[in-house]
Amino acid sequence: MNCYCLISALMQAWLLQVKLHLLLSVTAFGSIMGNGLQKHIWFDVFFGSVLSFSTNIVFEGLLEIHNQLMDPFGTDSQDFPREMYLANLWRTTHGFILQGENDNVPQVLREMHEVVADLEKSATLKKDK
Amino acid sequence: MNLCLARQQQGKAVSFSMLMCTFMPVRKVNPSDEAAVELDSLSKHVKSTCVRWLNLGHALLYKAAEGSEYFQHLVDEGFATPDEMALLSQGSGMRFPLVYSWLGDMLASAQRAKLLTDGQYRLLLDDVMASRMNASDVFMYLQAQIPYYYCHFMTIMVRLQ
Repeated sequence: MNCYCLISALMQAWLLQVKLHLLLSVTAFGSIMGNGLQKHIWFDVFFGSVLSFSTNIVFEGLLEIHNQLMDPFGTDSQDFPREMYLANLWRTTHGFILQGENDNVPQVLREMHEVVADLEKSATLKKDK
Repeated sequence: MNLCLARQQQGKAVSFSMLMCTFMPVRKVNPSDEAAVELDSLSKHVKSTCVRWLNLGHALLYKAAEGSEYFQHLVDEGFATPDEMALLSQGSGMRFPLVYSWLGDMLASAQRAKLLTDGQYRLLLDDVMASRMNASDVFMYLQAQIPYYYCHFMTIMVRLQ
């Protein structure tokens, strides 16, 4: 619970920082564009508009990613594929048990098991004698 | 990062093979001593099978990362026998953990047959488990929620800003 509160507080602080940064940068780019429009410097108009557009895309995109990552469990397409992972985990872990139960192992391993059983048997017989 | 992990796993395979050869060296045995000859051939068999399976696990890791379902060439190149490949082809999903489980089973059998001491067995098993962990880490990074190329793209965009 405390951890969640901390993350939430961090997110709020981050959000404020990003929004403030966006506001300030767009103000700066707006003044570049305004200056360009007044003096007919078309490169400044183009440069200012490209920068303000890309700044908004990048930072708002980052905020949206963090928003999505805050809760990775759900049914959205980018959420953690819980059912697929559980099914895969079940299949993999039970695969080990099933192969042992059904003696579904390679021939080499089966032969090795037989050799070891023979060796242990002869060792027990020696001990008994 | 994925390639680093795969190479780290390659390093584990080399150290595993080195340890196997150190713990089960080639010895000159008296041909008349049947028990010694049998134990020597068993030791060679365990050594070659374990190293082959470790390489097979490595090859299957690359196959899984590529998303390839074509395994016949692994039999042709000597990584697996046809019966092993038939067993691996039965299941779906990740195949390399199964090979590591065979490897663990083989090492445990070698320990029971007194070919390895408890300490040697533990050391070799640690290498096998480390290889399995590295293989899983490769997929952890590959299947991350934010793909690497996206991270790089965002880094470039933010730096440009």
